Formats: sequence, structure tokens, C-alpha cells
Amino acid sequence: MISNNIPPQIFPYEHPTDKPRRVYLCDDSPEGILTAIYDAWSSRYGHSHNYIQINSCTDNNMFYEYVDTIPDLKKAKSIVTSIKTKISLDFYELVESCLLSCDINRADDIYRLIILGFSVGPSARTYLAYPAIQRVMKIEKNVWNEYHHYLGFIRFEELQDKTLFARFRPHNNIISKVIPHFADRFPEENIMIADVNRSIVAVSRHGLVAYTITDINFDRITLPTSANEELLKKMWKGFIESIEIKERSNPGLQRQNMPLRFREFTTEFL
Amino acid sequence: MNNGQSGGIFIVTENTMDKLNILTAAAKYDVACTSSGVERTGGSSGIGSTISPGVCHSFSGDGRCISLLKVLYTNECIFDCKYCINRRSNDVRRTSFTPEELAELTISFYRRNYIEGLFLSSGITRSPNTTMEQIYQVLLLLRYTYNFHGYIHVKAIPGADDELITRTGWLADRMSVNMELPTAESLNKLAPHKNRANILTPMRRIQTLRDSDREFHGELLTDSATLTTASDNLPISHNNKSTEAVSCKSKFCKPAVMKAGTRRFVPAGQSTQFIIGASDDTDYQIIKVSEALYERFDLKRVFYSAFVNVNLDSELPDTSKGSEMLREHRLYQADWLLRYYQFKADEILSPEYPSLNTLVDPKCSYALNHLEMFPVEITTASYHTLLRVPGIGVTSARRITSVRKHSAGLLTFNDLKKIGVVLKRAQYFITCGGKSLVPIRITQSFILANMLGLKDNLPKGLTKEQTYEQLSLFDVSDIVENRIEQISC
Repeated sequence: MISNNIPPQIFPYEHPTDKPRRVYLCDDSPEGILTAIYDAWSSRYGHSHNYIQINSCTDNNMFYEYVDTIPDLKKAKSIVTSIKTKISLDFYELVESCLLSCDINRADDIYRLIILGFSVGPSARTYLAYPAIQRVMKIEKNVWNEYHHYLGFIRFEELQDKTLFARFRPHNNIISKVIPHFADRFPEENIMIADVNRSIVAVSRHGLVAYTITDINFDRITLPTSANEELLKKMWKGFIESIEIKERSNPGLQRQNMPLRFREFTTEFL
Repeated sequence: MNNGQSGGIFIVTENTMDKLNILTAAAKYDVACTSSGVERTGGSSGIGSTISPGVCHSFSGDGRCISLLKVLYTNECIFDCKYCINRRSNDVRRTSFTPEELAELTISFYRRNYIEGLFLSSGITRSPNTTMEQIYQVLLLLRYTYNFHGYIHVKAIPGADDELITRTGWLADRMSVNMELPTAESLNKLAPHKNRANILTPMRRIQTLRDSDREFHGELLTDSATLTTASDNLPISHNNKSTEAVSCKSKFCKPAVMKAGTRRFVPAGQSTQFIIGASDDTDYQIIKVSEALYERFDLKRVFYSAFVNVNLDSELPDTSKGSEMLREHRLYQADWLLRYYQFKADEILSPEYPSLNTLVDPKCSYALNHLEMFPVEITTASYHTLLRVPGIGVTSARRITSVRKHSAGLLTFNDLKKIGVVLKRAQYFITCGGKSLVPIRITQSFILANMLGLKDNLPKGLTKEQTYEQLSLFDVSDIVENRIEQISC
């Protein structure tokens, strides 16, 4: 029972058909995935015979055709523009969240989401009866949750020149979502946030944001902090200590609410 | 503009640290620590912004969220409330911040992203007015000298002048007056210096001013207008045309985005708190009062705090064996039913059954007592009806109504699970496409026994023996007898 208003062939056929499935291999990057989607789409081979796979995925099948794609910013941008103008900006935000995810199997789900988006409009996100859309919504939730957690769990240190510096180690590539929040919040500050795993640094100077990829190992680095930094750290630790109701101590709940992976760079748990 | 260090002199010192520790410990029994309800962008100058869901910045050892710098301005107090650690008759170290010191500390913490803002409460020094005045000073410094646009939650001090409360309200995001105890008798007994009128007057005052401010900004709409604007935020019932399923109290809608520097009167609304277990008040009394506060005073939240006998006062219940955490938990669940699930207090409890069931949550308990309403057919039931099913929450009910618009025929139990329906509870009460998941006898004892058979369904704090013990005493038999009586009448 498939309802009438969606073309059923947009989802990949599970069973062998007259044509072999063509798998587009792409880089694990937003441009890479979008380029593969562009290539698959413009090949006119048929959506249901196409499949998009990130090249670090290794489940190969001898009956499939494999096509390598080369990331191309132009192709990626053209898809982004069409989504923004023909579907909606909100829908693009959903696609963007999925692109930034660390889920290795997301490429094909994003492909299906975009096809459905062009077919039924922004309401594609409510087609939860389809597995690809269910997965997409799950991915979006995961990215949003991590983003929202880090809004609270990022800790800045004041360096000698009053720059606020923070490190974090997110699973998803959310630095481009996190930095605008702080740029807006601290319009008069210089901010630097480093994604330790990806070695991406985002800086914001008086509200203007820029990114750079470096080869600095932020795990090791210690930067000289300002004179009051130690006292304030001590005060914050003291605050965390004093606010606990000892009669109700519940470290399990604390760990559930703030898993250990978030505590790596937080002042109070160092 | 200054970056936190006003005039080059840093006034936060080791001495401040000492004060911070004392005044934090004195404020910790106030449970509210939310930073939600206002969406405000940062300006081109100054510091700070807020986002409407709020942000948790850390979690303390008891598992509670730390969002705001929750401190007392001073722990000196002229009142002698029996339950309070800062009461006059207690021999504890007394201290107090200066407005400059506290403002500086707040900004220093805020810049490092330790906190989302300030939660300022206070003991009553000299008079309510003096205290309110001091709180106002801190807010004035933060908002005007530091140009701070972050979240501020303050207590309205009962008994303070209207004028002072009004001025403070224009600078704060949320204000609260703690009810502490639901009935006037228990208030008299435990907090002899407080009275009902003193608590409700500022609450009403804040509500009135807030309403007129919202009306001025075109937000306080008539009922019919609310329906159309609310439709973006709240799901519309599918088949059922009853207005109660559609009606949206404007307080649940997403707040409008404010710009930094705009002054609105208490934009995040009011909250209050009850102490649970210090007096003999029943759950029914408590949620009846909560309901009245939500409906008549337009409160955003009521918080419940399980009583800890910090003063070891012999007139108060002994909590050394553990406080009533489960009761607190059940009250929060009932509170959610009032706020998000369109329940009425009288549907949850009644004077004959004034206590919440400890074994199952209030919604399950309601469903077990209203089996005539079930099973509910997922593909056709109204949003309102879906909300009554245990295991279906606001999010999953919304998803169900939006999915079935285009693919009702496709919905299976497996999809429901992926949508977020908790089938282990919902399975007894729903059919999907006319089928039920498992063969079910719709009787209370069958469902209850199965629900409790699940290991993870045992509430925390109940051991196995307790459960079985209570199971035998459990009021199912009473209710069944009651129903039989009703039928025979």
C-alpha cells in the first residue's frame, strides 16, 4: 500500500532488476556527498538504480557498478541553491545537519531525502513511514542534540590578550553551527574554538566568523592564561561543589545527563 | 565598553570565593534552575543572549542541571521558617555580596560559558523592601553598566512594595515567588512569618503587568485569534473538532525573538515551588493548587522539591532514611499531564484517592481506571485521544497526526516504535489498522501485572520486596470493587 502522491521508484530497489545497481563513491565531506548526488542525478540512470556510498564504507558487492566521484564545489553549490530556492531554507537546514553528521551511511539517505523534497516539498520530513526519512530524522536529532549539549559544555579560558579560547571534541562536524551562537553572544570579544579531532579552528572577532584548518595538535597545547583565570576556575569548582545536595547524591544521574565524553575539557571535571 | 573588568580593578577576590561557597550552599534547596522561555539575540555591543529552550551548562553530583549562577544575595534572614536552613534561629555563618561584586562575578562566569545567567534569591535582611532594593541594584548594574543580555531569574520578595517589584520585573527574564506549602494551615504552622496574601499579591501584580505588556506588543490574543497563530506550534486534532484539543494557551507557544536591549516585563513568565513531604498535605491538594496557579495566575512552571530536614527539626518529618524522591517524581509527571496533556487535576486524582500511585505513572494509572476509553485506533483517533494513551507523548502524537495525513495505510507497529511510541506501555491500549500487537485481555489486573513484569519499569527507589508487598495491598482490588459497586447501583 503506497500512497498515490509519491513516485515509489525514488527508493532503491532491494531486488535484482534488469540493470545493475550503480554505486557512486564519494568523499566523507559535504561537498563530496553533494557532488555524488549531482552526478547520480544527472546520469539519468534512474534513482532506484543509483546508490550513494561514502568511500570509507567497504561493503562492496561484485554485482554492482562502482563509480568514483571527484568533489566539485560548483556542483555542490548548484544543489544547495536549488534546495534553498525550490524547496525551503528550513529544508536546507535539515540537509545541512545531515551533511555535518558523522554517520558513515548517511549519503544515500540524504540523496533520498532530496529526491523526496523536490517531489513533495518541505513536508518530506514528515514521511516517517519511509526508512530513509526515519534515518535522516534520527541523524538530524543526533546532530542537534550534540550541538545543543556543546552550547552548554564548552568552556572558555581567558588568554593573556583577553581572547576566549575553547577546545572540544565533537562526534559530528558541528563547529560551524556552534561558533555563530558564541559570536552572537559575545559581540565584543575575540573568540577561538578548536575542534581537536578535526583540527579545525573557528575564530570570531567582534562578531565576524572565520575558519581555518591547521596542523596544530590541540590536545597537547597549553596557552598562557590571564592573571585571574586560576582564581575563577577555583571559584567555579567551589560553586559546583557547594550546589550539590549531598543527601541526594546521584552520580549515575549526573553521568547520564553529562556523559564522560563531554567532560574532557570542562573546567569543573578536570 | 568594558570586558568584565570594570575600571581595571578586579573586585572578585579570595574573599568573594568564600562568600560564593556559603551563599551557594544556602541557595541549593531551591530546585528551579531553568533558563528557558526567552529568545533574545545578542546585540552589536554588550554581552549575552538567550535561547528559548534554555541551556544546561553542567550537572551537579546530585544529577541536577546547573544552568544559572544560583546564589543568595545574603543569607541573613529575619524570618524563622522551620524548614529553611537560613532561618533566624540557626547558628550558621552569615554573609552577603555587594552588588558590584556579584555583577562582576556573574559576567566573569558568563564570559567563560560557565553559566547561562543569574538566579538571584535572598534572605530577608531588615525588611522585604531593603532586600528587594538590593536585588534591584544588582540587576541595574548588570543590565545597564555591563550591558548584559543574558538570562536573569529573580525572586520577588513577598511583602515588598509594588513599585520595587515592578522595576525589578522590567529588568528580569523570570520572576518567582515560592508558595512552599499548598495550604494556608501548613504555611501558618511551618512558616509563621509568611502568609498566603503576601505571596499571592506580588504574583498577581506580576501577572497583570506582564499581561498588559504582552497586550501592548500584540501578543495577548483573543481565543479565536490564538487558534490561528498557534497552529504552527501545536498540532491540530485530526478528526475530533472539539476546541479543547486545539486550544493553545499562549504560554506554550514559542516566544517571539527579542532584540538585545529591548525591555519586556518578565518575558519568561513566573514560576513557583512547593516543598513536598514537610507537611501533611496530599498530592491531590498540591496538584489542585498547581492547576489553579496555571489557570488563574498564568504560571510557567511549578517546581516540586522533596523535603530534606536540614535543621533536624523534631516537629518536621525525619528524612535521614531518604527523602520522598519518588513522590516528587510522580508529582512532576502529574504536572506534565496538566501542562502538556490537557488533563484536569480531578481526572488524575480525587478526594477519595488523594495520593499518586507509586507503582505506575499517573497516566498509566488514569488509563487503567478508564479502560472503557481503550483500545484507541492509531490511524483515526484524535490528537487529544492519542495524548491519553500511556506511552504516547506530545512528540509522538504530533508525529502520528502528521504521518497519517499522507501514509496512514502504511503505519505499522514497527513504524510506531520508530516514531517514538513506547510500545511496552502503549501496546495494551492501542490498535493499529484494526489489529492489536499481542492478544490482550483488557482488564486492570492483566495489564498491571504485565506492566510490572518488565524489569526496567520498576520505579527507582522501590525494591522488589516493596513492590510485591505493595502489589498485594495495591488499590486495584479496591477500584475493581468500586466499579462493581457502581455497576450494581
